Amino acid sequence: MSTSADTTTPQGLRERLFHAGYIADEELASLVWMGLSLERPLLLEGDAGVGKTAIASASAKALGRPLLRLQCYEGLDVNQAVYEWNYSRQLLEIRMAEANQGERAALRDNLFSEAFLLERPLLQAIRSNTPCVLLIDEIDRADEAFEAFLLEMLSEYQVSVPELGTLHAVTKPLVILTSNGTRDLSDALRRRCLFHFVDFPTLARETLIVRTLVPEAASRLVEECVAFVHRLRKEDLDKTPGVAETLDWVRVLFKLGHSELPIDPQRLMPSMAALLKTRNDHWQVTAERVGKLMDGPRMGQDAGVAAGLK
Amino acid sequence: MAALQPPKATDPRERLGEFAHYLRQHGFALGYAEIALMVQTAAALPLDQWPRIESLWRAIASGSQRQWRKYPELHQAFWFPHKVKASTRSSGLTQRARSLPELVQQMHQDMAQQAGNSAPGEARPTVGQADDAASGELEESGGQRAQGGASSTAPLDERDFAEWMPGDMDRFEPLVEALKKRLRSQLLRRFEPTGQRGSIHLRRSLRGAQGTAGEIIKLARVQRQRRQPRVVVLVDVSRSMEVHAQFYLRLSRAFVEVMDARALVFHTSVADVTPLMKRRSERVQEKVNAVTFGFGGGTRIASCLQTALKLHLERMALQRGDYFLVFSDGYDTDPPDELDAVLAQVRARGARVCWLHPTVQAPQSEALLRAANQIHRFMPAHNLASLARLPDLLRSA
Repeated sequence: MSTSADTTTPQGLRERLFHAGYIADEELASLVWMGLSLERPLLLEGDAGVGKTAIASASAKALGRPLLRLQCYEGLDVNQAVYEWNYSRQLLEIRMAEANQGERAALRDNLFSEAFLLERPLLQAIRSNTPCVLLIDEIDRADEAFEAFLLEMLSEYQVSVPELGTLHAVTKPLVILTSNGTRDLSDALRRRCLFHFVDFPTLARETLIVRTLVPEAASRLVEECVAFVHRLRKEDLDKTPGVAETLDWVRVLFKLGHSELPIDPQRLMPSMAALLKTRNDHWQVTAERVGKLMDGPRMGQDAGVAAGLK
Repeated sequence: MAALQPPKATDPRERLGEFAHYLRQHGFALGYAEIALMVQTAAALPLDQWPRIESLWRAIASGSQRQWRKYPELHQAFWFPHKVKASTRSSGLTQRARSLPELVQQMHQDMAQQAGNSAPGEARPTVGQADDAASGELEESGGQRAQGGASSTAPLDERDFAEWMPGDMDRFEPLVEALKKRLRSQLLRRFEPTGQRGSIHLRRSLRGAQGTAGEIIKLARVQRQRRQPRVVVLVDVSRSMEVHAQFYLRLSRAFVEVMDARALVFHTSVADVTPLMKRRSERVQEKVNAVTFGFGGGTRIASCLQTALKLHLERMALQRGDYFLVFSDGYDTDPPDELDAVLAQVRARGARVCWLHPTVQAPQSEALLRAANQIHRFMPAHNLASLARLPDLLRSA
């Protein structure tokens, strides 16, 4: 990372995150700083598309650490998340020992050694020689049993393997858990983490985010798009568009050659697929509705406010 | 280990203990570990950046979105009461409380002093550690002190819903949460794969052994599936229920959010409001109000329940152990026998029918008297105390 900002203060870390392409507000930067200082996992909750996962990759980039990612899903178990014995290799070892008439005691001792252990992301994270950033994405999708298993790892940074004993952390990773809030996480897990609710960004911050990540788009287009999305979020939609959707939409409009929002809402309708993700939302947001959202002097005012605050 | 010193009156631990107690009173779950962490954070933060302490403590103290949103208000009210308009100050303090900047400075001084004084290897207790008996006393003493004249009893529990304020309705969700935990999950005949537990499934084990030339290395285990009972909530929003309907709607929202229940409202017709309940916005609230209060007038309970079964609950097969909760005062304008017939259909599916009424006594309408045999239990639901008894009543239904 080619920046002189210091990661030992929240302000310095915020600058580093900015250079890594993530515009964090003060509170979020302080949270990441606290996670590093206190060696505590971070639990980020919020709607889909507000940039929870991006924080992990930006933190990794800002801190110059490798990023390890574990995507959670229903049915995720220890074998896929922590470790697994390499059964095929163990079997091969047994066959070879039988063929060579090797010593049984030695075989027994070696069969469950670290040589036959396949490390999965959680174990890799704590056994890594260089500290890393571990992203446990969408923890709310995993089963409660897996959540309970995580407790030991998150509080003690260690993993118990029955055949080997307890494997302690060589280096402590910065652990970031994300949740979309589709189910309630256990209190035990929450208490081990520092909690942060990632909300939709303010108009000014979102404008800055889009300008930074889509620098090729015209300023006017960015301001108008962000102001439009902010208005759209106030509508009663099944899936409220997040920052990711705004970025997609601006990119689409830029590719279509727009330098500002077209006056005719009909011309916008094909690109609305980037913002509206359900049939019901498509049905609800008609060209007429888009026209009303775009209409009036307030759109310009919104954009003006954003420009003034940046 | 050094002898533990009881905290002095000017000790920052005392003030932080009071703050933790204050947060606990507002539903935050703060233990010793969290308090220790708050001290650690304050000490680690450079002095010139002390205003950041609010966001840092917010991350430690909060455990949910609701707490996260509530924290700034509580932080301001506790540490900067002079900035908060129309706030109530805690009474019973015998000395001037320390301000937050003073507290943070004191923590830094303590840390510096501790670093200078401690002999190598000698451990001094940090704030709020489990072995610090004195800090426990502190928090206890904080609990006994009167807060603005309020007592520890909760009169809200006994107050009728008709007298509730909108802000009081946040208490429904923890209640339904407790209910969910206490309802028995059902054991099904179907099996599901498990890791280490359960019985061995030979066919799966053999199939899994194909990759290792038929050698069974890993045993596949299964156990019987469990399912939470499903809940259907029907809220009567007719004119006679006008006072209580909005509270029952809030309660049904809690059922939808916590137990993934189906929520329907009825008066002379019935409407499924489950999708609306799943979203929290003012516009949605307006829609629910439009659906529920737009019609007014009488009540046709039997025909509404019939429509609900045929139209809205057709795909959701009610099964044994499911709950069919009706929130109504029982005043029906349909022929009295019809309610009995429709509730018999629900019972035939194996679901448990519970009638929750806004009065202390069970309703005595003609229709309900005739249908009483089909109803597993009548339950008063007129205040929080009566709702708190719901888990026991539902389990025994």
